[in-house]
Amino acid sequence: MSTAQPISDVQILQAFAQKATQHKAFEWLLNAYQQKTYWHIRRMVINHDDADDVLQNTMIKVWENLHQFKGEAKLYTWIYRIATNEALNHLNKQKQHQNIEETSAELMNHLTTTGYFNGNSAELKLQQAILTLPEKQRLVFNLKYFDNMKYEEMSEVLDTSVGALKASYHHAVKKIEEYLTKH
Amino acid sequence: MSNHQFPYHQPEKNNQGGFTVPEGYFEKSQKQILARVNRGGFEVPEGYFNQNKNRLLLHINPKPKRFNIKPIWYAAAAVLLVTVGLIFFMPSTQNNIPVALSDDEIINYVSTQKISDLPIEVLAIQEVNFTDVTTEEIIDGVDEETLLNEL
Repeated sequence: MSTAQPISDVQILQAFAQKATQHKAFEWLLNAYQQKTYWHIRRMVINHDDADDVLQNTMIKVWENLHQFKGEAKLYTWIYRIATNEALNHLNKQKQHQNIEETSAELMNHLTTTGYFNGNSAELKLQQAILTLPEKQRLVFNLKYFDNMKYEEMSEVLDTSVGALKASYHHAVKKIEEYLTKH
Repeated sequence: MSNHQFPYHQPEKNNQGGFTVPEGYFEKSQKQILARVNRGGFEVPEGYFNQNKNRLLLHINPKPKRFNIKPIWYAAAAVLLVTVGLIFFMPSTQNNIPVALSDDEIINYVSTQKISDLPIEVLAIQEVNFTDVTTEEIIDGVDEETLLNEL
């Protein structure tokens, strides 16, 4: 049985600083954060193929900018911040061709038609309720509910005060409750 | 355990709320990201190099150039052709079409043609206006010696 310790952020960054071990360090980073980042993106863009594209772009940006990471924030909140921007950019591109209602309707449609969703009826209804929220509330709700992220960390990802995030989550929960009561 | 008033439990770890991915996706995705990183972020579409080889061969053995002429130019060419045709083939009332003549033909014409046969317009010299000059004025302008030489 393997007793290997998980690689820490410090080890990843130290290895990345050396040219000889840079690629190995990035592989460690992917092992640690690729899946978490994918799910964060997927919950925003819904469609798997879109999520794959956004994940690839996110990780290439991480690779290109990791040497600038100073360690003021946690590595994963820094990666989440890049992923969030990429996901929002992707959604904004979609919105250039559609209004907000059409985008929301299309995302709901993706839940059931593009595959790779096997949730039960309660999970489907919850995802549909989340898709009725404005983007910022959707982000806050997903990070709190699914990632169980602390408000302080969320503040680093979304560049928003803790108080505003708490209020945003509260509003999101209220709207979801209303939706679930009506549907 | 309820999450305040929220009716759903916090999802268990690794529960993605119903979303799934294709089998082996994360391994494949990681390989793709590492491959992009190893190429310095540059990538080419699938099959690009085969297509590029064909494009290079086309440069070496180019196909005959095809002119892409717009319909307006076809119309202009047709109008020009009809105009030129009308000029050349319409019966003309004036024999003023320039014709290339040989030196012999010109000499033959001049030697056989009588001045009296020529239309009066041909003999008229534009620069001299005879109506303004009387016979006396012409004769006065010529000295006697010249007249004698001419006779």
